[in-house]
Amino acid sequence: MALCTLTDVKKDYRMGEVRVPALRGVSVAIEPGEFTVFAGPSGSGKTTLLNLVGLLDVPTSGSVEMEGQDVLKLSQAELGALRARRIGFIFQSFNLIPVLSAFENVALALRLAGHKGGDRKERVTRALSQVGLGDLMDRRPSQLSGGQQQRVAIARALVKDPALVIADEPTANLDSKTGQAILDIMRQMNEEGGATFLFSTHDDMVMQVARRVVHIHDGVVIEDEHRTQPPRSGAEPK
Amino acid sequence: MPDLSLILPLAARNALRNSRRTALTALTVLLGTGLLVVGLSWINGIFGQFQREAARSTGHVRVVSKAWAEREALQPLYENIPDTAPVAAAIERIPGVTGVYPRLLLGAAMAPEDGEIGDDFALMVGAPLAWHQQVMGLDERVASGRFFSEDDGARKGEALIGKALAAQLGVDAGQDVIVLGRTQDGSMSDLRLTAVGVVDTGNGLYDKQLFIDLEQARWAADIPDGALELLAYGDDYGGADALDLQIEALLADGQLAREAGLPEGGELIAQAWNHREPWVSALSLFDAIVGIVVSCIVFITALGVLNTMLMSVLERTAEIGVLRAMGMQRGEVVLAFVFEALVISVVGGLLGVTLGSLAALAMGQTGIDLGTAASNLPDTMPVNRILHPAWNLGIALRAFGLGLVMAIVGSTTPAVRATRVQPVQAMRSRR
Repeated sequence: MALCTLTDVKKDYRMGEVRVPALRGVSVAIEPGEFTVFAGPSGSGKTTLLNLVGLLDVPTSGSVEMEGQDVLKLSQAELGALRARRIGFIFQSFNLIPVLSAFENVALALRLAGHKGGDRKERVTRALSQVGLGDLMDRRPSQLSGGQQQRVAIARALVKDPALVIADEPTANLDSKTGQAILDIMRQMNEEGGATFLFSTHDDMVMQVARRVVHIHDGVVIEDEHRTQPPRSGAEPK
Repeated sequence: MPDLSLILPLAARNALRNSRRTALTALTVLLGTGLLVVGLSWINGIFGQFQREAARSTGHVRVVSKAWAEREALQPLYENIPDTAPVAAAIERIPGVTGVYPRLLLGAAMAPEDGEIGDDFALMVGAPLAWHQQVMGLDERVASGRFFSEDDGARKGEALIGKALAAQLGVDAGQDVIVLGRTQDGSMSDLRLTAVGVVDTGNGLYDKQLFIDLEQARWAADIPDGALELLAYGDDYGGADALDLQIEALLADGQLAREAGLPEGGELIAQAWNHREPWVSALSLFDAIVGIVVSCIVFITALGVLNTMLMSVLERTAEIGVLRAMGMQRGEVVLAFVFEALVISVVGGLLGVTLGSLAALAMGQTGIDLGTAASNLPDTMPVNRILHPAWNLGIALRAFGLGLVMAIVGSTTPAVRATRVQPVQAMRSRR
């Protein structure tokens, strides 16, 4: 069963009296374990599509299913609970909570997911160690570099073992070397941990390592490229 | 169910996030609570004094004949209580009653011994020595001359004259006063009294009165064993309502009225001080003033809190979006902002209440002297010349509680606005 299925999804935005179509009928299914990129130029609709898959937004028409469940029938509170448990987010601007330490930021995701287990501390420590921040857990975001902040964001997304990780232009605010390192971590999590990653990007470096690239232009899928070759490890940044 | 162990620490951290803004919000609450403490202390001091004096001068509860009460303004002396002793004895047996005193308030024309009678009129207050001493404390307020004699016989021809009345008549301590009153059947009744002392009560109403012994007043009004009123006192004037109920129960069967010698069909009634005009109206006014003052301060302070909290929300739109994306529910977002404001308000409130209390206590030492303005108030308002704020712990706690109300009122709108932030906002915030 597909992890997430979008069928003939349309999404319009209203700008005053004008209706602006962002998606004009997109159908796409995300399978477990994928490392997929929504690629396209600015304004193509890739972030809108990512928002719909991440249950952050609802379509104007069409259907969205998550693990077989019609998410359009869920209330805002139910959607929130589903996101908290099943979806991890990595943002372009990292978006860590500035008043919390790296440890607390990661722990927050577990708490919001309703995790009440006594192993919370171990899980957070493990998640941060996996991204190479075992020694910087007590630092606040302002005391971390951009790359380190994004690693915390990755740990925050993955600590709850989500079904899907949504990453919106995760390397856009990083220099190419740091971006590559971040990408390597995510690919490792995908290959070894089996986490499903879904990106929106126009960064070639990210597209090179993707196993599937869904090309979007003017709100429609113009190409769904499945690559048989595993992504190149340690791909050189352009 | 919101996870408070998650929200509270987050709110506390956020409260400390922008020190300048937090200081501004705390200062707003500080000023609000400080003003409340000072304002409420003044209101309590001024109105409390009114009430205390009213309860003191009229009795916590008074017993009168119903017919007298109905026409009190006309001073129908014949509607008196002919024999007060059995009624006083019955009331004294009520637990908590500290004193029961017969009193006659008699309007009379007065003049110095060599003066012409008919120009000056004043109230003559006839009551037992204990009332003058223990209730009114006149023995400690003698400005010149002396207090009443202990000896019953000697006291009969004596009077204490209020400072303002003494000035009006041109009488000094030791000089005689000629009084022309009337008896209960309407006959003229003249007295020659020696003003043994001039009393400065600090109260505009009392300073215009002439205080005499009960027996002398009974003789003047020709009510040998009775009085117009029986004033009953408990431990605290605040307990007048309860005492009133107990006395009413005593009077209910009419037995005491018969023992007191009231004519057939005559009734005795009990009246708590606060159930009589002008106090019924004054107390409503008091509540209204407190309500208005408190509402204004709370509203203005809440507006200050609202302003800074709204800035917080607008600044943190992306962050709220992230929290919502990660699954934080709307109610939890509201609580996080309200708690944040509460944390700041607790600090501001504690400081404000402390500073306000110190200010109120300091002002309590000096007070405000109304001077001659107090003597121009109507005779029904026993106003002291010097007014003081009266601080108490209840006021401080109330102001602190209202400080928290300011925080809740001021932060609710921004918090609700924060819940309108959609999870998708997290994606839109880009550097």
